[in-house]
Amino acid sequence: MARIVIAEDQAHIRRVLSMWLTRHQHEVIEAGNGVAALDALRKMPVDLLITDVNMPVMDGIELTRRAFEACPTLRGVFVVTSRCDQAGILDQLTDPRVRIYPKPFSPSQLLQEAQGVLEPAARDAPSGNGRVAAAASGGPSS
Amino acid sequence: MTVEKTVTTTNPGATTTVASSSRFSDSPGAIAWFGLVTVAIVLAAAIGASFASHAVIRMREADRSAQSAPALMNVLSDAVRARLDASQVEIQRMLGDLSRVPGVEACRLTIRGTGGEATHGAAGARGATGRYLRAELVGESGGRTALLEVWFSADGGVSAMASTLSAGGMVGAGALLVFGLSFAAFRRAVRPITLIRKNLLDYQRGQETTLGLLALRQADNTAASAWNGLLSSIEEMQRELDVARCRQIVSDVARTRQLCSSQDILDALPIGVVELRGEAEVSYWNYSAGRMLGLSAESGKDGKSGSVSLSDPGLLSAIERLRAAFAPDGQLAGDTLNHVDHEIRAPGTDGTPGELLSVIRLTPIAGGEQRGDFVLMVQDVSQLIDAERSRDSFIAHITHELRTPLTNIRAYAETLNEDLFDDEKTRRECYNVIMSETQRLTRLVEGVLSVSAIEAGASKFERAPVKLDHSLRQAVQDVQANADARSIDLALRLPSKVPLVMGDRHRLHQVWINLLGNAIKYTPAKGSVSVTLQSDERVVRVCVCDTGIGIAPEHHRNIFEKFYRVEDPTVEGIEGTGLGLAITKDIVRMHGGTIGVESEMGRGSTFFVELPRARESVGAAAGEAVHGANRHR
Repeated sequence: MARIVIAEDQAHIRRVLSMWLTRHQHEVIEAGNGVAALDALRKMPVDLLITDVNMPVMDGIELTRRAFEACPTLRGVFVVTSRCDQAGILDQLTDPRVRIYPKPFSPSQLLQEAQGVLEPAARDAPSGNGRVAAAASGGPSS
Repeated sequence: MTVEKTVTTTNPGATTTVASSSRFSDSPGAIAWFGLVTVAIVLAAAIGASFASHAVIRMREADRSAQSAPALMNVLSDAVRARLDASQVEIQRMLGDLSRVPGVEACRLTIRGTGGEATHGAAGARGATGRYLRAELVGESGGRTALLEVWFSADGGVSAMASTLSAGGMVGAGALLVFGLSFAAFRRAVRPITLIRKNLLDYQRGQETTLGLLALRQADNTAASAWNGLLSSIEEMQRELDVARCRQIVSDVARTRQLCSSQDILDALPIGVVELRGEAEVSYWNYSAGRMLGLSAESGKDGKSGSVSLSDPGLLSAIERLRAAFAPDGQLAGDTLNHVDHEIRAPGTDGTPGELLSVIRLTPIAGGEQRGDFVLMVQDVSQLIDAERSRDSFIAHITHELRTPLTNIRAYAETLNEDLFDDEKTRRECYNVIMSETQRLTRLVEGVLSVSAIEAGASKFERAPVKLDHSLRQAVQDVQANADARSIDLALRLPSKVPLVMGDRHRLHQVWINLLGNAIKYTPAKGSVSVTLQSDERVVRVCVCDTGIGIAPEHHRNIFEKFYRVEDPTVEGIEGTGLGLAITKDIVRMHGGTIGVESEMGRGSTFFVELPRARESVGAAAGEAVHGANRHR
């Protein structure tokens, strides 16, 4: 079980991610923007941050830059975005613990990636696509 | 006659000098003839004068003899008296001798004596003009008396004078005749010259303007023929000159027109055109080049060559690099292309090249005065960059907007298919989200299509009289259910008479739907939305007023841009494509109208649309149908 913060301004996406992660026994904290997510990271130890890029008040890139400093327990950040310039985002986020996932993504595959990061045994196994995961191409896992 | 002519055209439009000379070589001329006649007349006059002088001399001699008649009479009387007594034979002989005395015309002696009276000699002619003297003689013996009558000759002087006068008169008459004939001949000879002089004076005074009218009608004279030939030559030259002038004028006009036209075209070009001479001397630049490179007639003007030298070091180094790419013969070394390009970028951060501002193309001038002559074309690509950026931004926005509902649809569909989520509540939630996101996707696609259709051109834009009250009622009816669902009071307030506007009924309906939809969407429950209409002689103003959350002033200008959405926690979760107001603005603009917003945070917003009224004639034609429409409220 891990504590995961979801930063996403789209309520439906927050909701579906939360449903999947909760169902797999993770604790989920939802935030509608970057500032709220950063507050959550500062207040409690968090294992994983899943964030959107385009958000009001503070965007996902700024949030990611501050996340590891705000929360030392953070093991990884998943950036999910519908923006086209994902390479540009990657250039701005050089930390190897950051992964980029394009929208639309597969919740099951994202869950799998999250478990890979969260479980030490799975962390050694490479995800195969480098830091930009092809979550959209994956199918649902049962 | 020979005519030598030279036509020298100095320059177009200037005076053309015609040098012409003529000479008459075969005319002995009237002047020579006149001289001869004059000499003849002088000779004749001299002869006449000599005759006259001779006659005068003779007449004077006669006069002198007449004056000596009494003395001669005395002599004769003495001689006759001495021999009065002689025989008749001697007396006859003596009288004969007396008659031969010079100055004596006739003499008669009547002797009265013893034997009666005897007359010897003859009397003078009756009517003679000579002098008549008589003397009574008494013989020395006293026996005889006699009467001596002598007629002195006066005819010698008179006849000499008469003959002299007649000879002199004849000579004079002959000379006069000759002179008259000579004068007539001379006059005939010089008549063309007189006419030529008269015509020339007329031409000079402007009484005659056509050279052809200066020609002599009777060209029966060499001079007249020469004159007419000269005139013909001048006329021919004049015609050639006129043709040359016309050609020159046409050429000048064509060249001027071509220059003006070329100049206008070059100045109208969005591409800067610069002609480079020598090192960095600009001998020509068009308007765009002047604007982009900051060239002006005042800056760096070289008074001698009328050119401008480039001074921008960045530009100079760019030109130098471009020039170095060309071989000395003007050809691009190692390349078949006959030009090189260079990019000018804005200074970027950290010394890196920034945004592309313009592209410079350097092309050598074929046949330039010197090897370093180039044509520099400067293209301002900032607009292209802006257009490209706008297009990229649009694609990025639309991709982002499409991916969000797609993400939801995919995620919830996968959830629906997941056995972990098999409870009814989750399944229904998934279904509702999928349905709503599908509708959102549909609206987004429709919005993008609308934007595309509007931006593609107004050709599909219909123009017909539109009854705005009818259009507004229809729109209000369409959103009424939505307002009711959110417990929002929706009101339409129209004046008794609503003017028509010219426009597209369907597009205008879309405008009202967008504005009313936004008003309902951003107005909390129990609020109100109202539509009002006012008009003046020029425009119709439709206001959509709500009591919603309001829009901060800094967003007022941007909310009509595509995909612009206010990022504010108060609007978080309110669905929107970000295209509605952009489409609305485009439609209003297509109708020649304006759209604006007045808003106060927390108190509501008012969007107003002003459309130009249709002309009265249009309103009269379509006015009747308005009265039958139902009022919404």
